[in-house]
Amino acid sequence: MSFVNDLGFTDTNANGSANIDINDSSPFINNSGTMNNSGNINAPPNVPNYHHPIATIFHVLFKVAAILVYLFGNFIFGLGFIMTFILSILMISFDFWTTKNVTGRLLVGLRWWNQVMEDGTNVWYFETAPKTFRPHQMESLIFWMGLYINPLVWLVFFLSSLLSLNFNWLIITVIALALAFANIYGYYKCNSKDKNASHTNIARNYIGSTIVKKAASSFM
Amino acid sequence: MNPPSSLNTLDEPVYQTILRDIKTVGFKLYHVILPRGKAVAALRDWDLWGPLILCLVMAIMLSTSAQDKQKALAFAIVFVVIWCGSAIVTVNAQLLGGNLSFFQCVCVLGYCVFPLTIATIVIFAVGTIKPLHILIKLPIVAGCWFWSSFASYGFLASSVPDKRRILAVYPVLLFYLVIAWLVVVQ
Repeated sequence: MSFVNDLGFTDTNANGSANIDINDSSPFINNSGTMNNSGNINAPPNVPNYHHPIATIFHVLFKVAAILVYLFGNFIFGLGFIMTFILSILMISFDFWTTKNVTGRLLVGLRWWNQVMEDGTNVWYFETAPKTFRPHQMESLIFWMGLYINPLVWLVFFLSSLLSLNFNWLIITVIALALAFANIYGYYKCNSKDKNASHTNIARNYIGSTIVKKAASSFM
Repeated sequence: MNPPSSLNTLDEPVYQTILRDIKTVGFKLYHVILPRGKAVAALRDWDLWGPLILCLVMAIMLSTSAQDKQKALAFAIVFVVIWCGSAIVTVNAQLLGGNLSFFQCVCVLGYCVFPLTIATIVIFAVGTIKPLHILIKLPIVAGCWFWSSFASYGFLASSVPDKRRILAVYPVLLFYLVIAWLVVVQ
């Protein structure tokens, strides 16, 4: 039996029970009738026929929320430094998690992650969806804009708190920049790999990693 | 922060992934409290959610008991000490030829702060009723310091070559000692 996993690769050696639901609801395969036509890459961007409206909203929402909390938390909402710090850090890490694990995969069909092998070596995976996945033009634009504009805003905050020697607020901006650049690096690698590497390579990479993962999970 | 390999549609599986992430965090905390053989495998799959939560909890507790003017500073110091400290200890272990990856090591050190976080919570909770004398705080924190160090030793010792083990473990002890000191003087 063969099943299509969530990146759209056919996974032949997986056991059925674990993968049936994956087959039914893969984001890269349009099963439902309403989504079949929206996969058209030539759809005019002014028609908001989004494939993943909720993912798109959250991709932007957490970034904007983090920036707003950082800017206005202390002085306008009167939360005080500690509360502003906690809320900003939480928003920044929620955004990092969402961008890394959800929106990249759904909006542009890219994913990066890391696996620690048994000997302690780190293996980084940069994956792209197969050619059958067509990102929605507007969603893809929003994804890349969000990814690149976000650190620019934080860079301004970083410089302003650095120049005013504001140690406490500097911490938040450093964390935001570090996480934002991690995502940029990851997706940049995915994207450049998309143009260079053949898809069979990525498929092999992915299937190999799934086997390792299953082996690793049997340890626990 | 492992990839949700079975994360497919947006609504329900995101909920499932979050649940699974919470469960993994709980699982790792359990292994820190009771460090045993399987623990190394448990922490191979690193994430930074646990360390972030532990660090925030500790920083909140310690800053609430600080003087009004120093609250923000206390909070920031706890945060920086935990993250920069674990990064430095990790770089040290790696330079000594340890075969733990960077993030895995930061994850282990962050999770092993858990006993000290418990000490902070206990002292804070009792302190709201009646402030504790330092002679009562000291043994509690010392015990939890030993516990943290012992747990992290279990994870880290096996990854560093035998001859250099003490060189790798000593900074870890110092790292937890600094945090323990922050807890005592809260």
